Amino acid sequence: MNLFQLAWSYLRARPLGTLLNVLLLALGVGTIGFVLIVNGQIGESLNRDAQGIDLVVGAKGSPIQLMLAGIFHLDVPTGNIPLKSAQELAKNPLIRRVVPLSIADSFRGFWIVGTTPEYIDLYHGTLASGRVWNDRMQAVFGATVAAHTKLGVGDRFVGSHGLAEGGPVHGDSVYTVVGVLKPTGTVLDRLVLVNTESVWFVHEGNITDPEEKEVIEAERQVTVLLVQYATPLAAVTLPRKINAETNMQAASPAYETARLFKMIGVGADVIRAFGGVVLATAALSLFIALYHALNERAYDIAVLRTLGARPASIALMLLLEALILAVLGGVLGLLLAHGLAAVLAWWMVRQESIPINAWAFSGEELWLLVPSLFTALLAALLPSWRAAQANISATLARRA
Amino acid sequence: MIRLEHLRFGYSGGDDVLRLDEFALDPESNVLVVGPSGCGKTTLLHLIAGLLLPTSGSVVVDGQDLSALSPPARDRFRGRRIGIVLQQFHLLPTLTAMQNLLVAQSIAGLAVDRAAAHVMLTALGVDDRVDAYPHQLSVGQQQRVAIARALVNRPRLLLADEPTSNLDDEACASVADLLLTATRQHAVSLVIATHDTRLKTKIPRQLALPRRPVAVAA
Repeated sequence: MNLFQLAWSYLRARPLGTLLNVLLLALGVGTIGFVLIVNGQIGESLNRDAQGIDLVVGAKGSPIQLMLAGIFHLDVPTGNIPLKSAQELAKNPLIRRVVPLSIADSFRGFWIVGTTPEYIDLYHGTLASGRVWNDRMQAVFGATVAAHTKLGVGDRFVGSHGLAEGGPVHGDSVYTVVGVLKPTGTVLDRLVLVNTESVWFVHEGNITDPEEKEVIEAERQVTVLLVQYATPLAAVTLPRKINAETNMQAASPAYETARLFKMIGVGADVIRAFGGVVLATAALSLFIALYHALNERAYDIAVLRTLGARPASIALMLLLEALILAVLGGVLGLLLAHGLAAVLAWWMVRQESIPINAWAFSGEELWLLVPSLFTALLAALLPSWRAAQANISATLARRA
Repeated sequence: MIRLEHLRFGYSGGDDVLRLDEFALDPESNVLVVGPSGCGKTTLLHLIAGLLLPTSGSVVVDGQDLSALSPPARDRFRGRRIGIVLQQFHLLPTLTAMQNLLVAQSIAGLAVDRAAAHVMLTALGVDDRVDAYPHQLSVGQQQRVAIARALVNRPRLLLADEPTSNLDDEACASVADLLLTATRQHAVSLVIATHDTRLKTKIPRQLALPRRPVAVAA
């Protein structure tokens, strides 16, 4: 029967008040934790998708849109660029590698991306079954696509133009699934990969006239180029050069992601501030409860002193009550944060948006207990101090 | 057991509330502190318990001058050597009878000894209510548990403040007998502060405090 048990007995004796304070703390911590978890998971997810990509090059327009479309496949592309310009750019000695993407069609809400096998290498993708394409109209499915469509190697499908399901269907161009990738945790999981020629073929049709073929081939386009620099120096000159001297646009994923985060960061700040307000309410509620306890328990405290408790022990007992509430509220808040994140994750999966892992616990989250503990300490400070200062003799004499 | 010398107590700026030139109590003996209301009975008890310190003079309990102890040491001394029974026999309401005794052991810095606590509750005849909360106990049972709690740390001295006020004759006699029997059994000295004349038949030795001491002319 130590001070901790004594403090616990008082909390147990008024379950409703205890519950209220725990819930308030949990709500505050949960809200702040939710923002941290989601921000962290989205950031990690975006970083994984942007890894190894120094520059996105595409048609002129919004750089954020270019990045969203070219790297994360969350938006429609800004347009297409001539294949010739792309090939010219690839010759630049500042560039080590260029991965072309042709984005036009989709299959059941998943983008069909015409590219080269280098795109799979970029994300360290490996095959779960089948093989990579070796001819046009052969498709490799990302893990999520395979799971959602329940299609596998050997199955056939047709793409539809644009992203919307039920858009114009390219009925005469049938793809065959030749491979399925293992999950990578990147955007690759949500894509249908084909070779670039497939995309051209679907839109050009089978042209037999050699003259017409020449004209059309000269006008061929791709959508986006993912560029890896040969040297860090390229970052200084290359984007400016592309933006100024060509009809293409270059966007740096690092810079644009930071800009994007700054924008959605305002929303995150609002939610975080709300969490702060709830925590302040919790502090007030806790303070009132403890202050009330001080008056209610004046005689109990006096009795404890007659039993030999020193003032510091009395203060510690009230502090412990606050700390027990803080830990309970903090832990419950963490669970709440992950629960909210799980709901959001479920919703985002349905939207085929960025996947977030709601139940990834990290040691750093224990820092979330700090605002809870701090709130409790703040609320308990004055009551504890007053309890320690109480005139025991006077309290006992009043009742006697 | 208790030695009081040239004891003066007053609140700052006011007249002395209590003056007592000399008083001594032998080990294992009892005394009744009597006097009219406001004469300082409770104050004297608090001085002996170290809850108050005298303005001047000394309070020596079990060979220890209480003023010489640091505040934490005085609290510890009280917890281990002095048992206190209050008028309301106040038990901590959120703890069971047993836990009320265990918390007394723990707060005094002693090992929690459930067996010893049980022995004490048995001695007071409430061993069948160890897990009951105070509100589940009768007033008589609460008194017994409170006395058991005051004695569980084997103090040398038991202080009781008006333990029998508000009690009918039968209950009064019963509480007095309980206190006397328990203190005799455990070789504890007993000091009862009371204005209850019924106790005079039980405890012959009395320390009568006069009505408010007269201010000494300068």
